[in-house]
Amino acid sequence: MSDPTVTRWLPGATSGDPDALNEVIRLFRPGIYRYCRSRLPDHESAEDVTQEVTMAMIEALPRHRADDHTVGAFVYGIASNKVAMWHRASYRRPEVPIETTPDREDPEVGPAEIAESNDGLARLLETMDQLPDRFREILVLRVSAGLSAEEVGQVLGMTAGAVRIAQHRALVRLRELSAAEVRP
Amino acid sequence: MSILDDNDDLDLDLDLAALAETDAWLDQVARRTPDAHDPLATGLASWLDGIDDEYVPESVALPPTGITPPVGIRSGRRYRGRALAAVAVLGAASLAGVGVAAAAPGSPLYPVHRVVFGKVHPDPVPTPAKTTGHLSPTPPSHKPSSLGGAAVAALPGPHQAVTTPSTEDHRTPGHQPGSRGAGSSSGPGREGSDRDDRHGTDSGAREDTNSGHRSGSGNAQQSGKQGSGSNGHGSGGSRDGSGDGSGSGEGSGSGHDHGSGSGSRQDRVSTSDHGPGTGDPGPGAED
Repeated sequence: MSDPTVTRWLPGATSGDPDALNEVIRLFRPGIYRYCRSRLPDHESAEDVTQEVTMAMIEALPRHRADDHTVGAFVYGIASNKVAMWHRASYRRPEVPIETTPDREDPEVGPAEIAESNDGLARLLETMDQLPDRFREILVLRVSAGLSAEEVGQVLGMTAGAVRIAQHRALVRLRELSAAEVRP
Repeated sequence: MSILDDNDDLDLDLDLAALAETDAWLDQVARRTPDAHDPLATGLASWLDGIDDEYVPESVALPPTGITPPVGIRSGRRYRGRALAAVAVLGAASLAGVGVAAAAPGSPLYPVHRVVFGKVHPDPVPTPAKTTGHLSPTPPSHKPSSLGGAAVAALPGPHQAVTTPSTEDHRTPGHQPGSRGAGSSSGPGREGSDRDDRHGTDSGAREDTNSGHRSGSGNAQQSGKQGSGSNGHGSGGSRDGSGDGSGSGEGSGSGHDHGSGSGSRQDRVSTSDHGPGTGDPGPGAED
C-alpha cells in the first residue's frame, strides 16, 4: 500500500490540511470497503463499518507516525478493529429469536439448492468461510486490501516471515477445501 | 503463534521458494492479474470484482473544516427529487393559505375563509347607515370585543351604524365594542359608516376599523348648543342633545353625548383618547 499518490498527500493529511486529508480518504475508502465487505455478511454492514473506519481515520491520522506503521497498515489496523467490534456486537444481538426458529431447515436454501447452484463464486466464499479466522484475515488483507506481508504483519502484530508462512498455509488449505467442494 | 499451532497437520517443510511463490501469487490476485488457468486465482479475482461493483463511491470530505462537503452525504437523485417535490407542495399550500386569508366577501374563497378564520371578515365592509333623529340615552355598558379586532359599531334604533355586514353582532344597544386602529376622515358628521344628524366636519384621523383615535374638529349641531370641549372618556353609546363644536380626540370606550358636545365622540370600546381638542362638551358631553 505504498501508493505514491498516498505518499504525496500523507504529510499534509497528518498535519491537518483538509484537502490532503480528503484525498487520502478518497484513495483509501474503496479498499476499506472491499476489506470490510470481505469480512462482513452484507453490503449494508460493510457500508456502516466503512463509514466508522473513515471517521476514525480522520481523527487518528494526525497521530500517525511513519516510523511505527505504514499508512496502509495504520488504516487497515483501524478497519480490522472495527470489523472485530462489529462481530463482537453481532454476537450480542442475535437476529433470529429462539421462539421463531423453524423446527426444520428452510427448504429454499437447503443443500440441494446450494448444490444446484453453479456459481463458483458462491462455493469459493463458502470455502473461505471454512478457513480459520486468522488465515482468512491474512488472505483478505493480502488480497482485498492489497497489503504486503510486512504491512499485514504490522496490522496483526506478526513478523513478515510469520505472515508469509501463514499465508502459504492458508492458501494450501484453501486449495484443499476447494478441491473437496468440487468433488461430489 | 496460534496459526502454527492450529495447523499441525500441514506440511511444515516449507521452503523459501514455495513461500515466495505464494507471495507472488497473492500479489497477482490483489492486482487482478491472476493466472487464467488457475481457477482459484480467477475465482478470487472475480470475487473482488463483485465487491467493487457493490461499492458506491460517496463524496468524501471533512466535517469540521467545512471546506469540502462532508463524508457520508448522499447525493442521490431520489433525495433531490423528494426535496423538490416537498418545496413545490409547500409553495402551493402557502399560496392557497394566502388566498383564503385574503378572501373578502364575494370571493369564492370566502366560505373557506369563514370556516377557517371565523365568521367575521377582518376587514369589514362599511355600510353606510343613517343615524338620524334623536339618540336616546342608554345605560353605558362595556363589553369587550370578542371579535378579535373586528369591531362593529352599532347604535340602537335609527342611530344604528353598521360597519360590517356581518350578522354576528353580540352587542347590546348603546355600546360599541371596538378595537384599535387608525384612520382619518373629513366630512360632515362622522366619517365612514357612522352618520348622524350633526352638521359639521370632522377632520383628523379616525380609523374605520372601529378603533383607534379620531381627531379633528367638527361641528355638530344637534340641539342648538354650541360649544367646544375637550375630550372626555366615557362609555355608552347614546347621545342626547345637539352640539356644535369642534374638537378632536381619540377615544376609548364608548361615550354618550348629552346635550351639545363637540369634539370627539367616543363610540367605541377599547380605544383611548389622546390629543388636543377644543370644544364645549356641553352637558353630559362625554362620560
